[in-house]
Amino acid sequence: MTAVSQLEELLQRIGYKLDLTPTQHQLAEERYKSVGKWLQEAQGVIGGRNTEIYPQGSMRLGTTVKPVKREDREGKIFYQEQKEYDLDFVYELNLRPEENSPMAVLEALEKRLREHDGYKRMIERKKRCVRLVYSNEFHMDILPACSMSPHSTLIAIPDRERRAWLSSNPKGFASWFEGRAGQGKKEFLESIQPLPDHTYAKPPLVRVVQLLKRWRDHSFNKEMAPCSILLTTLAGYLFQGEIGILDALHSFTTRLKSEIGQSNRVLRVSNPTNPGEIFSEQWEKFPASYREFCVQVQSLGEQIDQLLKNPGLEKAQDIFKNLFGEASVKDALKDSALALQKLREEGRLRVDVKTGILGAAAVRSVAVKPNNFFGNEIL
Amino acid sequence: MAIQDHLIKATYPNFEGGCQRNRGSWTGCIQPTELSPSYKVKVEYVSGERPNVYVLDPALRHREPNEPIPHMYDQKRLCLFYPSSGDWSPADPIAHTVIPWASLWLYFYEIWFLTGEWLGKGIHSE
Repeated sequence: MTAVSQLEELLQRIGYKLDLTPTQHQLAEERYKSVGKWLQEAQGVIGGRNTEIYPQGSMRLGTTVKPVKREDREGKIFYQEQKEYDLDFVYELNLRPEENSPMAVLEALEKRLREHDGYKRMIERKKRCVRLVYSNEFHMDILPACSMSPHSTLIAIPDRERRAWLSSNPKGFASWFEGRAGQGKKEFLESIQPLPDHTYAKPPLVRVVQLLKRWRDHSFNKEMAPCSILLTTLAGYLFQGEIGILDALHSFTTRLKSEIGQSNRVLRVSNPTNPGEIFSEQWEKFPASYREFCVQVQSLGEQIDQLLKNPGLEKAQDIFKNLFGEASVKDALKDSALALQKLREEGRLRVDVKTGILGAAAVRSVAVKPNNFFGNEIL
Repeated sequence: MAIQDHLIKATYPNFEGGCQRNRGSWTGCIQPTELSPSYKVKVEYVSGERPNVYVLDPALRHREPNEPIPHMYDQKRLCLFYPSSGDWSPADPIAHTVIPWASLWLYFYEIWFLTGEWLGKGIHSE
């Protein structure tokens, strides 16, 4: 493995640790389907068999990010604690938006959830949806929606503040993102093939989005933080099929700095599948948050450059700790050591004779025979 | 002893040293991973005894002044195998056992240094 591919493995593992665990993922699937069933069994506008519940956002894109813990923000002034994964779902109704009031739909959804003994204790009312909180695990945001046309994936979603329907396109957005992430897919799959175990690997763009979200949670004050959909869209636009995460992060910061530098005005980012929907609204309303974003991107870029210029394990640990939190890096390092230990136990570990480098596939190499490290730990 | 000497030098082109009668000493560089520094190590061996491995440069570091580095003898030599376990016997070529184990030891040392955990398993004797 080259130094860069070793960094790549670490970044993949950091990303893997940010994912929902397979158990959490299964639980989330079961729970949203149960909610869907409960809603479908309702009478009136909210129920019916032609309704559909489906994941959107990070749950759909595979870009969920584990909430930041207190110890991860050690030494940082700004800190926001979040206990749960944030998972989003659309409940698409068989209604015409022009014939139904958005407020009535939100109310009907909430009313139906309140009829359930379990859900009624978990409800929080949000701007556009109803949230069910599964304490310390995840919360599910259920967004009621009406299809706008049978010929497109556009939907109408309610907004409490404006008391109106807004347009959105989560299915379209997901296809767009998957298309962007699919660039360079063949080369990426080839690149992970030689790894003895690559079940933890995901396409670079997916990992880049997760890492950017974690970097955001770790580096920004809550009021200044760019929202997830904005980061996801920017990453998707700027991705050009790089086959590695580090390379993709490097290109992301380079291209973004150039976009930022081209104008004194705030960068405008719209929904690629619904151009009227402006994701960068927060920057326009609150320019200080845009300036903060520019500063942070600059710093992110510098750290990635440093790492590419002088790759070393200690340096990498330092930079990743600074960007993504100590616990993430520690866990990733431990996972890679355990993977190597497993190779060793299976008798598949070899040592390159020219350098002493360990790995599964060194060409001029000798096998590492079984041994037990011993010692008398006297200082 | 001459066989040990021959195998070490034939296997690892960057190892230097040699033997006289029943004593051998070799120095060479090992880099456990591409992200690691290259460590200069010295292997000392007296026929029939346990080979000793020292890390010369860069020097090994403690996490905390009072926290010993795991799996070392007297904080000077690497403990690469359990003496009475049969992991190693004088019939085994150092080139195929002790040197690969030193690389493995350095790998787990680096992870230990960064995480505080020795993940290479092994047997402790406090």
